[in-house]
Amino acid sequence: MRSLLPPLGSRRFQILIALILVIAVLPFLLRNGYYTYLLFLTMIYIVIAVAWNVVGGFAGQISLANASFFGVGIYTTSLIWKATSSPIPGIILSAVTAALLALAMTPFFRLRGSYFAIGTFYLTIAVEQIVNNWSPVTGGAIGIYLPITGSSLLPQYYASYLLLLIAVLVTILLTKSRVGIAMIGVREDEDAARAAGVNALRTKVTSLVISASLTGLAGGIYAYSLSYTDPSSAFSLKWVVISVFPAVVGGVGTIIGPIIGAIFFSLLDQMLSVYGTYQLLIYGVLLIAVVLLLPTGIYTTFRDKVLGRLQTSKKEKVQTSKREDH
Amino acid sequence: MINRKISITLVAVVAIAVFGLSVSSERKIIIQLLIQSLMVGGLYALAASGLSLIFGVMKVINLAHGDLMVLGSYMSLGLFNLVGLNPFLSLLLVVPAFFAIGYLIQSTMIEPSMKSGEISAAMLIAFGLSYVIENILSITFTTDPQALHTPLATASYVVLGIRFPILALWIFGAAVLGIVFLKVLLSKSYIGMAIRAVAQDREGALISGIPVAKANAVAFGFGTLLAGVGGTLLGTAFSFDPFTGLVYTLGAFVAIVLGGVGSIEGALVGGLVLGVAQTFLSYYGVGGWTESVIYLIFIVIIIIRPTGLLARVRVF
Repeated sequence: MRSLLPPLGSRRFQILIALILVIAVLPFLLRNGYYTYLLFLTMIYIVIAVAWNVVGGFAGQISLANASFFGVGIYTTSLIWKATSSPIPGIILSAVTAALLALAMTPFFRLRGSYFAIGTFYLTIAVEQIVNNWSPVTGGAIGIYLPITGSSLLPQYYASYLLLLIAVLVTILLTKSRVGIAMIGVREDEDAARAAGVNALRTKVTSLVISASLTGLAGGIYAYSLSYTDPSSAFSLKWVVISVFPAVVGGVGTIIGPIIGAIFFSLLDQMLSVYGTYQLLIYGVLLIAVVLLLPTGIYTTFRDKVLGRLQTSKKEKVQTSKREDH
Repeated sequence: MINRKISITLVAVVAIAVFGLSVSSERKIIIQLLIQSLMVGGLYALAASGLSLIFGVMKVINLAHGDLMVLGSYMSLGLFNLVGLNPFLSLLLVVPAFFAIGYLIQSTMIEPSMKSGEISAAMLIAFGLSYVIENILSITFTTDPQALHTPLATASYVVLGIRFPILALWIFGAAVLGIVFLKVLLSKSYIGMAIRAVAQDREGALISGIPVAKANAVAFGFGTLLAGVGGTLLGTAFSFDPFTGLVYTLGAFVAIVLGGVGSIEGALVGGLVLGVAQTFLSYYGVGGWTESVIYLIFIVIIIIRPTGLLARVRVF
């Protein structure tokens, strides 16, 4: 079994440690609340994308229900926060409620491929409708006004950073663990995986529950940064986009792909906000363009084209130098 | 198969009618609601038959289908505003334009994205298209609700005290016509047979020398054409805005699964059942819960019978 981290003292290990430390002190270096907020939002996006990658990337189940896990997280935290005037129990319970929803979704795994995607899409819509209509509990379409927090976003920033580290660690652990390998087996060939003794249903449910807990926590921490929420924003189709598509944009089947994809979506949100009414139009055009121009994703294209070329040129150099030796 | 489906639908409609009669003595309202359902049901059937073709052949989850439909409404609106063209006559322009739009969407965007084999790539294209259509419409026509005004919209026959809106009959007639047209196309023409071959076995079709990419593009073209026609008719019956599309995308998938995936006439049956369900649920006090109830029933049905309620696994 390979170790989880790059070898101690190697250059990759040093870069990793430096990155972890820089992100930890970044709010103090920037001293700008707005940038801190943008970084916080980007980390939430990354967690959503990394969490989706567990069920969508590893187990290969295109879940459009992750948007509802996020919304359930927002609502769990909001309701408990209002009742107890502390956000922390709510955020922790968000993981539980989202995981319970995922467990209840077990029958969905009778569906394969596109049918699973369609079924889970309707679940997201149905959950939004239920929250919208069940006003005695959820406040209905009017939404919920949340307690006012201090102007500093530092607690939210560090909460999302901790969650990000946990999410990435979970993903790395999965690649080394039996259950993670079972997920990949189910994705590649479910019948073969079954024949090899993998309990396909339990594996898929496990992947969805892990994904849901992380996404629910992200929703809870996100709610902590809000002053108001309502069903149409908590269960917005935007969260379907942010959960499913970073993997496509960044690079399917990699750990870093969804992270790069999520950063892409966060940057897109910020850069396009100046275009006002044209914002979502340009957004749509860019989504189409990125699929057509970089069909294997930003990271994979970069790795294969740029790094690949660098490596081949290195090899060529080695070969030529060998020839000179002779 | 067709007979069995039609008889099941009839039984369902009669059962709902009898149930309605036993609850309320106002028979007229029940019949009136059934006629009303023809209108909504016909629109869902048009949306569903087009989407059924697209989903059945390419397995692409075209979340922009409803938006394409609303684009049809706006094309007729634009033609009416610019040159005063009657919305029903504008169908003569909508039909070729939407075939071309669909053909181009498939050949330039969806087809290349299908190569990676990830269904999420094609879905991302559809999401992008949805954003593009909704926002082009918002920028051009504002987000205010619009409607296509025709003298037909309010005209109706009155028989035995029951009002038959002519529009309901038109929409239902158009849905039946569209589905018969698709049936004939798929069973009689060369390209129709090619489309069916691709739907049944893409690789087998490729090996047999069938132009798979062209068959896909034609299938997407016809699917979009039906959406466009549905859009124009939608505009004459109900008000619409740039974001109306999602409701019809969702309704179309419900209708497809109700009627059986890969069955064109199933889309008609599914559309009508959905129309009846929606009309009656919203009339009898379920109010805001109508959509939740329909979507939850849909989820239960798709889990129990993924290939659809009224059909065995079949591909056109």
